[in-house]
Amino acid sequence: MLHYRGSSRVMNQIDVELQSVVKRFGSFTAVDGIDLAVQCGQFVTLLGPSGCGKTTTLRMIGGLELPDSGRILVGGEPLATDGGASRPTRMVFQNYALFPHMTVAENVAFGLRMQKVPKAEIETRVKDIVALLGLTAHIEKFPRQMSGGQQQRVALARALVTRPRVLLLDEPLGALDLKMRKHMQHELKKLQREVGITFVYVTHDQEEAMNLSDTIVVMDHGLIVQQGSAAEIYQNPVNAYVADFIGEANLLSGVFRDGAGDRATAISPLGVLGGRLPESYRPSAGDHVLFSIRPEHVLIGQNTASLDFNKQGTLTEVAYLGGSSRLTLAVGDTTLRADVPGLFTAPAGEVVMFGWQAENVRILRHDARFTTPVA
Amino acid sequence: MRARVSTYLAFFAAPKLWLLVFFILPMMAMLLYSFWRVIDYQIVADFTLRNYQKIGGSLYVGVFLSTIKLSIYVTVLSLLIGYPVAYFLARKVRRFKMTLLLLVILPLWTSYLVRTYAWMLILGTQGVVNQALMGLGLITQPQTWLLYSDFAVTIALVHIYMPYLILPLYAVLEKIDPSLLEAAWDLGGGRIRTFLSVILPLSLPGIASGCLFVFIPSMGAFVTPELLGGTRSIMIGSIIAQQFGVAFEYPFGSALALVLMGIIFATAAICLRYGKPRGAV
Repeated sequence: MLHYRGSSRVMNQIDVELQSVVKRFGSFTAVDGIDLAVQCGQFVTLLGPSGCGKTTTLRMIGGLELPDSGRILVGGEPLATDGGASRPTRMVFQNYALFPHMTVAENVAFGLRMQKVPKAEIETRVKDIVALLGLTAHIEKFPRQMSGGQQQRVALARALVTRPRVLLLDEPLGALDLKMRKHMQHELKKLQREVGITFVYVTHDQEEAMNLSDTIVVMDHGLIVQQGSAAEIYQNPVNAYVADFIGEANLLSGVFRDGAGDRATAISPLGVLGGRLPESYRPSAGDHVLFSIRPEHVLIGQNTASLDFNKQGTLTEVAYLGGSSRLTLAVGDTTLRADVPGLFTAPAGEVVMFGWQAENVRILRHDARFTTPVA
Repeated sequence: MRARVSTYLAFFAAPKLWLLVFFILPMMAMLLYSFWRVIDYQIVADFTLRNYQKIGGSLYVGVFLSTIKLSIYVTVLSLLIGYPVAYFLARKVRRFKMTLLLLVILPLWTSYLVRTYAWMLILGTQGVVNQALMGLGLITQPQTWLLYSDFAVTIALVHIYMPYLILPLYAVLEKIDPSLLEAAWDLGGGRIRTFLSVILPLSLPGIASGCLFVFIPSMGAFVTPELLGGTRSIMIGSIIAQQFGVAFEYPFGSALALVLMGIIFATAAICLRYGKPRGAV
């Protein structure tokens, strides 16, 4: 079995800690004061669109960028700024950054050579990690002779062989085709369980993040918007940005009416709707809000009569997606997406009943980026 | 259809014709000449190997060897000075990159002859160097070894040909993916080890072509050794030039030129064979 630095430590220990970290590039603020604590042995994903600061954050944890202010602790110690082979993190780069003039074995051995590990030990450790990643048959090949997925595994082996405390991965699957990406997601998760070290992963692919992570950290404009498990974030998005980014959501503009605790009502283009508020948001009457309703929570058909909310709408599009059907409904000026299981047979143009439970509606802070015209 | 044929001819046949007239035909003529001989200032077309036998003698072998030696000095010196320049330009400079590159290329726009004469003014007994050293009282008499020596020829050739080494090296160094250097740093590689195990091997093609671009013209140089080498530093280029000039020995000159070309081709073949980085497709 492989031994990784810190693998024997208590699991709830903090491995990576960021304290009010800020990073600017010229006049552009990439990371705008974030605090983050990553527990030992967790698979944590920084998720967000390009420009949200996720890669900069990762590079700062890896020491490749220095924060303008704030502190970064890895394993409880401030990050050394001078590099050196004993640094606790290793990075897997987006384009793999394999040394093209070195064989797989030489690439993997590079970090160990820099650490001045004895030759015989290098040999066994390289052999072990290469076997773990299923690359034994390719050990004498050069990177250019290998497929993207294989190169990806070499990059992982090269980083892991040095037994880092934290492995940093910068969109490592971005260059692979969909099928390979799915396969590598599965492999990555398995690998992380096997080596048991902390993975900090960066992606803009929400599905990938949900698939892999113990904790997802959603970032927007250099700030952390929400963090939690995939289920927590999907079920209780704190704002419209998260609701829209993680999964899909019908976002409707509205005006807040009243609420008690997390139960509230607001006026939407479809009439008065009940819903739930996120913990951090308590609007007052008259505030502009956004409703978020997941497509799978929009139910169709006669049995909608007993739901908290129901109405008639016109089908404008029906698409069969295999496991489910995606319907597009027009209600006045409002367009709604609905996912129903299996094959939906009614044609476009038909008038149908639809509805939902107030339990599944979220009332969120107004955000101009997601505003739909109010009827 | 007709138009297409003539377009084809213009685009593809014209360069071939150019090569044939200005390269292949003269080469064939040289090859022929090298087996002929001169009798009473007349070139006689009877087949003989005498020219090549003459080259095998110790006099010409010696000149060839000293030419190779000097060209190697020039190449190595150019590499030692040019590599840091190319590296600096490619990887360190951000602003004024184009200006600095232009400064590297600028001397190429000055005549080769002017640059050679400039070195005479610098290194001669009345030259800047001697005057300065005497003015400082470091020497009492002008140093004569400065000019008309291997030293003078080497310095001038390094000056003249180094841009040809810097440019291909710059191109290769600039193309090295910065993430490779980040990866080396991330894995604990210090500056020197990163240079030796990543940058240097990846810049090998640039080193090979840059060195060839200096070595080849140095091997064939004749004006510079003629003007700066005097009688102490004789290169094969000057001797070949003499055969086609005052000596009127076209056949022997052709044979010398062909042997020189053979040496250059062999060097180029070796450089191109071993100048590839490992793992290249």
